[in-house]
Amino acid sequence: MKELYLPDEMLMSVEKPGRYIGGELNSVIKEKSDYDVHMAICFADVYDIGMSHLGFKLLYHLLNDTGRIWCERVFAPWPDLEDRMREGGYRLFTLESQSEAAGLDMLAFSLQYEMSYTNVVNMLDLAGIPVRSCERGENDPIVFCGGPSANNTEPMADFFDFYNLGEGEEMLPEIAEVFRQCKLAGLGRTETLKKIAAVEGVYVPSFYECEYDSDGFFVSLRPKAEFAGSVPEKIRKRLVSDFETAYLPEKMIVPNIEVVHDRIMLEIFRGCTRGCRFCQAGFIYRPVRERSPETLTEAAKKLLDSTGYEEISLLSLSTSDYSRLGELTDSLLGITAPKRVSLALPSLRLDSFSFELMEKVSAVRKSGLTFAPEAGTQRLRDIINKGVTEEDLLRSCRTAFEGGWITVKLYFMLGLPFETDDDLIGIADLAHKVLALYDEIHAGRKARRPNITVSVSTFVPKPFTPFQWAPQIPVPEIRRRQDVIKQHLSRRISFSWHDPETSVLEGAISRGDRRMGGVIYDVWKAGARFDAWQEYLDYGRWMNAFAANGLHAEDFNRRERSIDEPLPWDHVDVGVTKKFLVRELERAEKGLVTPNCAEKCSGCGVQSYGKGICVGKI
Amino acid sequence: MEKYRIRFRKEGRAKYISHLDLLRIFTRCARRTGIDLEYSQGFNPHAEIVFSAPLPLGMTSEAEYADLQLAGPADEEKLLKTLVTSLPEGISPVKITRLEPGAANVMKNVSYCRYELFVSFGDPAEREIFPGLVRSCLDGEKPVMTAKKSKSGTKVVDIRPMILSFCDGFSAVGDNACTFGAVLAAGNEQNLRPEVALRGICDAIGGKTAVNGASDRADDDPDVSVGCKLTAVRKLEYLDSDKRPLW
Repeated sequence: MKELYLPDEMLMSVEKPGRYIGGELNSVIKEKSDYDVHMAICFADVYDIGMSHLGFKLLYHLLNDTGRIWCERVFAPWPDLEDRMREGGYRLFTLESQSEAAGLDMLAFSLQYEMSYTNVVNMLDLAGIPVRSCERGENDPIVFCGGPSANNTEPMADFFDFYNLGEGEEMLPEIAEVFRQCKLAGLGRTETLKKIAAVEGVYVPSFYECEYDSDGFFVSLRPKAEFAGSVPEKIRKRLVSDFETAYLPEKMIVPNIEVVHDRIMLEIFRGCTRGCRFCQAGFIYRPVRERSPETLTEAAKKLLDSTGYEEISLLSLSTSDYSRLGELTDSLLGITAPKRVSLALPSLRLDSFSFELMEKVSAVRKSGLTFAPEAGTQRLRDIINKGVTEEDLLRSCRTAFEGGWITVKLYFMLGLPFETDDDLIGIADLAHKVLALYDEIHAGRKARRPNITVSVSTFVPKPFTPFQWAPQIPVPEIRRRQDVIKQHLSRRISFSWHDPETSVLEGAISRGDRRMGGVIYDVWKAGARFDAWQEYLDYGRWMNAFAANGLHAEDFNRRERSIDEPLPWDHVDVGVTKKFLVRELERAEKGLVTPNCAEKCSGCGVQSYGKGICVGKI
Repeated sequence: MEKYRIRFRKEGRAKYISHLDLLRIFTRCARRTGIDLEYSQGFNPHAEIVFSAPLPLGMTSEAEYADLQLAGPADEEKLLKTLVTSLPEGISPVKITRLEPGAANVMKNVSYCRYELFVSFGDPAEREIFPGLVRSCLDGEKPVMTAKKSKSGTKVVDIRPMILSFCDGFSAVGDNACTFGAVLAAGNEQNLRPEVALRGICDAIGGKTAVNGASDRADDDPDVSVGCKLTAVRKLEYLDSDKRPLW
């Protein structure tokens, strides 16, 4: 039993000390003689959030199962503990060895969300590592990142030594091996980074420079003169060579304390065929690649034996699009039912087939159903390429209500491009139709009160989507539109919405360029951390940091970009071409729906990888 | 249907695992290892495991109990071994016994609990006089009044009747700390937590305490000029009404 890094007294004075102790089932401890590379995978939020993340756990086990690497875990301490740590001179530490993170070779951050960026900076500082990569020396760990938000590399470019662009399963073992060779050969920091830069899919920001015009707009990002020719002008994301045989862990850490998503998650496929125009995941994870029911069932069996979890949940962007769903559910039920393990099928499109499935997997629990029409009118749903009609929704609700469900959540977005007040009123109208349907079905009978919720989030335009050029609406306008919905909504329907300030900041950061680094640094200096948690977000502090850097948040979130304007993420090639995104934007303007990949290839560009659905293999 | 009682230790970092998390940990352990637990009927079936009284977060224990209800008979030694190898670090079963049908819950026969307290003093001289002061306080006539939380709220009560012994086996540790034993009322009827006993006694002898470690963290006043400080508590064993150690 390793001794804990923090004293008892400190742990007992904070909320949920179980977050900081490690020692969970299936966590990995290695002897010094068993590894050459000592690294940690870092999550810029608390334990409970990080340990809910499949990708994080997957890469942890992958790295520990690969070669001579020991990979530990690091999470952000909650502010109550951080304050105590700073008072007492304690530093950011790893869970497994309970030692200071600064003593490791490499720290790999998983970037899931722009609002966690200040936590990255704060964690580095708490670790005692210079937060900017240019200030780090030979004895500091190499700090890098990957994950969906990393695709726009620039806002955090000042802080990372390099970026892993593409799927970690494919790249991380190779990166670790290159690093290992460098370490054994005794190479210095810059030489090591040069070697790592040669790995396909790696981007080393310090080898590139940016140019801005006299009005302060981004013009270009290119290799610095001394690196021209030796590093790529465009960095192409890497994909696993074969998803069916890609790494699937046999063991998974089982947290001792309760975390948000605490179950076996089976990733049934990656990517999405749908191409909803607002959805970044729908573009950056292309092409769709499936795992077979046989592989998934085998993995589930091993994971059940090694974890004892009581629930398995299928994971993908759209469960219903899995080509052999019936077969998979049957074979999973074959192993789960005898063990009293429940099977969850989230993000189902609700048709008669999926109701049959739901009846089959959980005969009793009628918890709640979520539908995501995303927009209130057919016109706007066509603009965003959300292939759902009012009839689809009402048909699903009818089946649900007749089947005894009373809790329905309707999920929408507000602030979508080309949105008018009619679309907002349409949200209320749609909800009323759902309510009327419930009343009609239960007419003349004593029925329970239905629990219908309209949940409206604020649209944030993201890089690598057809709406990457679109303006985002400002805070007062977001509030006004929220009010429009509220005013039109019956009191029998609950309404929930997102904090507008979080959304516009997310909008500014996600389409920011390298100068955003100064803003993030300054706002962190001013005390920002846990910005993803509303109780910690201070909008004014962010606005001050923009001003101090001579920047306007509006230039990044509110400004409509022209199609031929250079974008700060043009050097990243995620497979989907800019030409395709332009075409999709034009189709959106005309209200034209684009068929999903399973029906017809629309030539998004990702066929160049020759994988998955693009080559008819799913 | 068969019932087995196991006695286990909860120590080391497992002291930071809450009582609520414990049920989940045992249930998952059973599923991993093929221990055939019975489940309750109804809407949200849960595994039929009954634990002894919840151990406060931060306290270690030599004497935790879990009654497991199994679908069929099991080999006791094998069952124990399975649990020992499969429970997470710090949760260590020590023995097992088969229960007769209808056997009462562990806490039913519990009247007292023996603890070991770890206490530090601001000044070694205070440590010297502490055992004597405690003895005269408990031997005296005056009630030991202290605020005690119960289900119905916080009340000031005389805790002396709930203290069977305090400060036995006193032994000095380092420059200014010590460890000693205490036997306090425990169970369904009356229950006195060690930190409450220490606070009450210290108030009565005119000292001041700070509680660190076991629970009652909301009561921990950082501004108190520390006379003595509870740094850790270990639960050693339960006693029945005849003061005999429980199985």
